[in-house]
This record gives sequence, structure tokens and C-alpha cells, in this order.
Amino acid sequence: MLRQMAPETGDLLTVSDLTVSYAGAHAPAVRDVSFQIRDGERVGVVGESGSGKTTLALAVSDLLPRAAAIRRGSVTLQGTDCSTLTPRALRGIRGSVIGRVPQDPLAGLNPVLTVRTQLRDAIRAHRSLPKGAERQEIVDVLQAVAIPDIDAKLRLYPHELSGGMRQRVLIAMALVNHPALLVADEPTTALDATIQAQILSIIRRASLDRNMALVLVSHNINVVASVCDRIIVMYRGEIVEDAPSDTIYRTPLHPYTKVLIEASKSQPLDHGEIDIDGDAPSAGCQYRPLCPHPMPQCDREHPLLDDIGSGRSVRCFAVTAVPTRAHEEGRPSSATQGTSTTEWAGSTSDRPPHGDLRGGQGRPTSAQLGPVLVAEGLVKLYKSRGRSKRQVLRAVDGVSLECWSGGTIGIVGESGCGKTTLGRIISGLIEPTSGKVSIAPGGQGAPDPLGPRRGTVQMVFQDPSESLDPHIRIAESIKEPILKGHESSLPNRVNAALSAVGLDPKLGGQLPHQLSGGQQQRACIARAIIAKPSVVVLDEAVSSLDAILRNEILRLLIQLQRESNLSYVFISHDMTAVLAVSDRVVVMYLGRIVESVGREALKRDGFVHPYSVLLESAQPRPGSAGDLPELLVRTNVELPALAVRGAGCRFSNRCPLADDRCRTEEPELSQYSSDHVAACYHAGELRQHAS
Amino acid sequence: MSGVLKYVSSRVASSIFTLWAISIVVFVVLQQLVPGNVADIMDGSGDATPAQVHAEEVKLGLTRPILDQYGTWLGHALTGNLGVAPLSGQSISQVIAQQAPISFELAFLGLLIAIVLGVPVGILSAIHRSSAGTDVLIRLPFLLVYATPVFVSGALLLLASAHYFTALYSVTYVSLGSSLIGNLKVMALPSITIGLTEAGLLAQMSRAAMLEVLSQPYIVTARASGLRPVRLYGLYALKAAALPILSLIGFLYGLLIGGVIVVEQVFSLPGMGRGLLQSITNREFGELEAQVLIIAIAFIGGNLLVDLISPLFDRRLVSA
Repeated sequence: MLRQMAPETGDLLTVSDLTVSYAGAHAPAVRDVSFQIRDGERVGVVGESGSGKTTLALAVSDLLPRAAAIRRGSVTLQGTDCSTLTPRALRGIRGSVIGRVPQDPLAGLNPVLTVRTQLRDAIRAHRSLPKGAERQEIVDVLQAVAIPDIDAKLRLYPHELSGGMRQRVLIAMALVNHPALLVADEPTTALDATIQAQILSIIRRASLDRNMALVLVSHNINVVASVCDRIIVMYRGEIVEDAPSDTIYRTPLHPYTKVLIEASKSQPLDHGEIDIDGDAPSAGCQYRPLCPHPMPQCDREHPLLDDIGSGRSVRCFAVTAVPTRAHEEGRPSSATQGTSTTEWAGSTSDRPPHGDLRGGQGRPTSAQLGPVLVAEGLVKLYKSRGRSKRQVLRAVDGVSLECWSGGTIGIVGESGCGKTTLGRIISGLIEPTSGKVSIAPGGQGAPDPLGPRRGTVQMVFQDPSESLDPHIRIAESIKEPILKGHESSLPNRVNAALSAVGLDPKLGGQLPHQLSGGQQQRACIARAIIAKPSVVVLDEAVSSLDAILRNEILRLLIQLQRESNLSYVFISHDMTAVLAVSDRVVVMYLGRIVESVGREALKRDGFVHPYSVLLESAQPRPGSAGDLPELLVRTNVELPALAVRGAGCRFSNRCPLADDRCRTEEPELSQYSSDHVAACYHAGELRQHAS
Repeated sequence: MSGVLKYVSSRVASSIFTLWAISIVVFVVLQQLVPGNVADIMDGSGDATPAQVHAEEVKLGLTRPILDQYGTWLGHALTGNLGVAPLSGQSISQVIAQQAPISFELAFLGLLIAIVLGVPVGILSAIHRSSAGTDVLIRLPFLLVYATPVFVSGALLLLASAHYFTALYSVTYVSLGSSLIGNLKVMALPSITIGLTEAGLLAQMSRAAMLEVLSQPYIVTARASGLRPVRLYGLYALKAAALPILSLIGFLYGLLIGGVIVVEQVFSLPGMGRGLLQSITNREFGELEAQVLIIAIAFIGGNLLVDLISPLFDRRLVSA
């Protein structure tokens, strides 16, 4: 077993039997975790929220919050047991031997100090260099994280930098003293896919160039696999599998690992909701309640993390009890059938193309039904204040779209592309500057521009805990949209809505904080559907959920749609989620639709606008951060300020295909093929690299 | 730079506007809504005929239209001529010039003591929040003093000084102009009374502001960089926590100018607090208006000052 192995030379970090508990919690957040990291090794830690991965990362970098304490076990760094060190010695390690990249780049930098001060202090905490050498260190490290225009950036305060730039500065602060180990906790979760790809590439490059070991924590196994050589899977505070990245993708052994890999691609799943807040079984395997193939001993005995050779360890009787190398005979997971959404278009697999949650069978085609939502020429302008010259922000700049009854229109784009503003215009939360939205009440008849919006359009927001009033019981919140109805029928309708979203009607009496994140989002969906709307606008409704929860919510949405002929406007920055649920994918860039393509046409043509191709290629795939697609390197530009834009195509300054015409003349949406329009003079000329 | 200019001009403009609005409210409320006027008071014995009272009212201009009266008053006030107090015959400007410096000095010294005592205590107790004993020990005495009414704590101090520090025991006011030492001796006890009381409030607020900052991710970043505690707390946390503390200080200064009535009474200081009380009793509206306006100026001025130095701590305030 791993924990009994003697430390070898080259071992940078040894964690043995580490158990960490939070004050007041009955179960430890991290339980008997043991692993080793060699110099320069890149290890990913993956698991859903509540699996203990962040606590583990904090324990390793000696930054546990005050409420948490190491109950058992040890962290040994370069041969020294960290628990024997004085606070002063620990401070000497932090920032010099271990660098840390935090999760939220917007909150990670001190808002009242300049970039220069914060970088300089990071150096001075450990070394005193002559002024010139100190400056050189700062310039070197900022170049390593690809920050342009260094002198100007150093003088700035964090709020003057974009999210991606702030994360680069934070990585620079972690790297500036040449640490032997970098701990990055969800470093890209808050960032757009394009920025994420760049940041992951920077982290991997830094690790390779400096022979620096890396612990990368994420809920997204694709993110981890894109950078790391080895993956540790955690479930309920325990390591359930530990194996090289390529092997774990090819032949995941633990049933939970299989679920994680499937969920990362929005495949339909056969397992119940994982209630991480619930009680674990008192004896036996913790995964037993969810396991599809439990064995008799799983109820009685707790499986150990067993080394099964070839650098793999797994905590599962089904694998370890059979000595005949069961893992090599195991059914290869569908994960081997390609991990890139590019293959989506031409998949020859007998399964539905991966990422496809809907299937095509038995669904009415759009032509048979009328449009339920028609938006025409929508424009929303915001006057930006505080400038000497009044500048106008064109948040939505001439958008027209239709949504068919029972269909889903997926809107995807980076932050700032106007997708949220568009969703709010459709739901009537804000008025467009010009243009109109027409909605067919009850999903029938012709869309009526003057019809009442309330009740016919409902919204579901990103953060369920913030969109439910914390002081009001769930049933009361759900009741809100139908309060004008008959009093006597209200409780029945609330119960019906709760059942429809898969919640026990008893939960209606609870307060939001008593529900898990997944249950809260289900309650929000119940509130949206109770008034029998024709259109539901889902604004990043699954973006704050981890892969498994996201998958469950997506399946629920599709099921509800089939039952009640709902139409969805599904807004997300996550291409995978959009591809999984949409009949039509609409790509927005800086307030405009640049590509709009039906499901069948997308399978046939793939994306044809360079920006859509860029978004798609930015999705993390195993090993992808090693060779950042050239497209992403060439488009290494932050979104230009929306207000300062010249003539021509709005994507031309990032586009590898841009020519003189693109820079002077803005392309209109034009037909590429049937059911497929794009606003590009070079549509279809750029294809993603074959992967 | 244009951001700074814009920020400063908008702060100053809104302060001036607020002051002007207050002057109207004060004038209208005091002149029109409070029953009785100074002519009634001058006729203290009540044996003047209505005609005589009316003649006096005409003489004082009380019968003119209210807008007219306000215009005249504002014009005079802006040129420093606040009129003459009808009862004493003294120039109101002179009266204010005697009273105001005492209150301003008292509030200033009291606040200074409160800052010196309260802010470090609040910060220390935030840093040592995990050891409940230290936290409580540091804060408890301040909370006790804060919970004690100033007429009790002031009287106790006065009593103690009569026995133990007789040098500070004094019943006659010495102005700042005549003797600095003498003045500070007189002001010492009242300032300490105010300082001790407000220190409790400042300690609580500093602690809350500091705790808020210490829970922020950027503090974890700073710890992860291995910063020395002095730098971590002294710059990274304190600079970020400074704004709410500063705002409270600016607010307290204005509050204290109007709130020193009791302390001035206890220590027999001829400041504006006592003056205010007299003006109300005698319905000396001219004097009262001047006093209320001075307090408003102190209030708005204190907050304006804080607003103007805030960008030094947080540049986001002036970013365009």
C-alpha cells in the first residue's frame, strides 16, 4: 500500500494518513489521505464540492483556516515534518518553497495596493536583493506568465486589470521565489474558457520550465487532465483512485471515477443524486449507496486504497478483490471515444454523439410547430458614465432570434458578450433600447408583442443560494409566481412542482440553507415552472455546479421540457453544457450573433465562425494545455473594451483570418448552409486542429 | 487625474448643497413651526399690550414674508454678520466665536484620545480573535466605559481629580489664547471623558472592519506569500480596513460637536453645547440658527475631509 512505502530520494512532498476536521463537523473533511509527489511532478486532485480537495490543498500549503485542525497524520516537505516547524519556519516555507494560486482572481489580490508593491513584498518576505536584481526578478516572472506591457501594469491597482490578467499576476506572485511546489486551487473556475486555456498553459509551462511540482485542484477532471500527469480522485474526504492521467481516462477503475469522467462530458448518467451533506454509511464502503455494482463485503468492510501496480491505487473491492488484473479487462469507458467536442460532428459511435443529452428520436422538428418566442432587432445601450466624453456601451447590438415551441436555443459566448443582457431583455427584466420581443402566451397562437410577460417567461439564475430568499421557506418561494391563483389549489400545485423537479414535497417546509446546492437549484426550477410558462430563460443555471450536479440538472431540464413542452433559452459560457441541451446554438460576440446553427447542421458542418472555433478549441482536454492550439496563442488578446471599437468586424483584432476587408467592413449574418448562418467573410476556412 | 478632479468636485459640491438645504430647513422650522418668538420672551412679565409686542416684531423683522427673511439672513450670514442677540444685545458672531472653539477643541481632543486608544485595541483584538480570553480582556474595559453615561463617568473623573490630581481640577475656563498649558489643563478631564467613551465605539468598529478584511481571500494570498506579520497586518490588512474606520471618525467628529452638551455642563465649560441650551430656553432663534448651522458645518466638514482623504487608501474611488 502506498502509505507504507518509504520516502525515496526525489520525493518532494509526502502526505501520510492525513486527517483534517472542521470544528463542529462530525465527519472529517479529509480522512487518512496518503500520497507522495516527486520533484517536478504534476498531480491533479479532482472531486465534487465537499470531497475535501480544497481542504487538502490548504493543509498541504499550511493555510488551513482557524476552524480546521489536523487530527492525525503528517505533511512532510523535503524531508521535514511540517508539524514540527515553528510558525516562523512555516512562514519561511510559504511563498518560497510552496507557491499558491487562489481560486478567485478577482478577490485574490489586495485591492488597495499596486501590483508592484504586492510582487515586491512577495520577494522581500524571503530575500533581500539589490534593487536591480529585484526588478529583474519581477520582470522575468511577469514575462513567464505572459503579461504584456510590464512597466505600465506594475503601476496599476488590481481593479484596473481584467480577471485573466489578475490571475496571471497571482501566478507570478506564487512563482517569484522559484518554489519547488505550486498549489493551485481551482485557478480557472471563475474564468472564461479561452482565458482558462491560456492560464492552464501558463501553469503547465512554468512547471516544465522550472522543474516545479504542481498540485492542481479542480472539480473538472478535464481541466486537471489537461495539465497533470497523475490524477488523484477524492470522494468524501478519501482518495478513491490515484493513477496516471492517460490510464485513468482510458480505464477508470473506481465507479466514482467513471461517473466523474462521464459527467465531464454531459453524458446521461445512471445514478442517484449524490447528497454530500447526508450521512455516510457507518460501516463499509462510503460509495456503497451509489455504486452500480456493489459486492457483499461492501456493506461490512471499508475498502483500503490498494496499490495495484503500474502506478495505480484504487479503493474498491470490485477491483482489488479479484487478483487477475481486473482493471485491464474492464470494459473501456466511453471516455476513450474521443474527448474533444470536435469529434461531435463526425462521431461514428453507436452511442449518441458525446455531449448530446437530448437524442434526436421522436422530437418534433421545428417546422411542425410555431415560434413561441420572437425577438427582433434587439438593441440595448448603456451610457458609460465618468468619462470626459460620453461613451455608449452597446451591450446588445442588433440581435434577432426565434425559439420554437418545446425547443432549446443555446446562447454561448465569453463574459461581456451580452448574453446575460439578452436573457434579461427576453424575460422582461430590462427594456431594450429598441427592438421588440414577442411571446406566445401558453405556448400557443401567434407571439404577441404586447402580451403580458410575467408568468409566460420565467428565469433561473446562476447561484441558487442567492436567488432564494434565505428567510422564506422553500414552498413559499415556489408559490410566489402563482399567488394570484385560487388559494385552495396552491399547496397542491407547489407539491406537484416539487415532485416534478424530483424533490420530496416535505422539503417545502425547509429554509434554503437546509438544502444542498443541487436541491436549491431544483427548487429554483420548480419556482420557474409552477406558473406553466411558455419560455424559461436559464442564465448560467448550471455554471456554479460541479460536473455531476450539472449533469443531473441538465437531465432534469430535458425531462421537464419533454413533459410540458417548455421552451428554453439556455445561456452559458460553457460550450459543453450548451451543446448538450440545445436544438440551436447561437454564438455571441460583443453584443452580436456571429453564428447561429441548428443541431443537425452543426453535426454536418461543425462551427464555421473563427470565434466559435476558438471557443470550442478552448475546452480543456487531456494533455491539451501542453500544446495550446495555435489559434489560442494567436488570439491571446483580452476582450477589447466594448466602447472603443473601430469599423469592421468586431472579431478582426483577434482573428487569425482577418484581412483588409474584415477591418473596414462589418460582415452581416449570411447563409453558410441550410439552417446555418455566420457573420464572417471567411466562414468555414478555419478549422480546429485535429486532436 | 480627471477622475480625482471629478471626485473632489462632486464631494465638495454635494457638501455645499447639503449645507444649503440644512440652512433652509433650520430657518423654516425654527422661525415658523416653533410656537412663540423672541418678542414674547422680551416681554417676560407678560404686561405688554399686543400692540407693543407687534411693534417689537416689526422692529425685529419678524412680520416680513419668510422668503424675504431667509434671503436677508442668508446674505448676512455669508458675510459673517449673524445679527445681534435681542436679549443680551451682543453680536451673535461674537458669541459664536467665543463658544465654538471650545466645543471644536473638546471634540478634537476627545476624538484624538479615542483614536489613540480605540483603534489599536480594535485591531489587536481582531488579530487575536482566536484566543477568546485575550479578545475579551482587551475589549471588556472599553465596553464597560462605553456603556457608562458620560454624566456618571465625567462626575467620577471630576471627583477623582479633586482628590488625586488636583492640578487638573478646575472650575474656571482658560482660553487657548491666554495660556496653552492652562487651557490644556482645563480641557484634560472633559477630553478624557469623551475619549474613553468613544474609544469603545471605535474599538468595536475597528475590530469589525479588521475582521472583515482578515477573512478576505487576498489576506490568504498575502499569508501564502510568507509575508511577515508586521507587514501583513500593518499594511495589507490595515490599509484595506482603513476606510470604514475613517468614515466613523469623520462621522463621530460632527456628532461630538453637537453632543458635548452634557460634558460641557458637567465640567462647566462655556462651549456651544451650553450656548445651545440657553438659546433654546430663551427662544433666541438668531443665535440658535447660527449654532445649529455651525454644528452642521462641523458634521459635513468632518465627513468631507474623510471623503477627500479616502482615495489615498482606496484608488477605486477615483477610477473613472
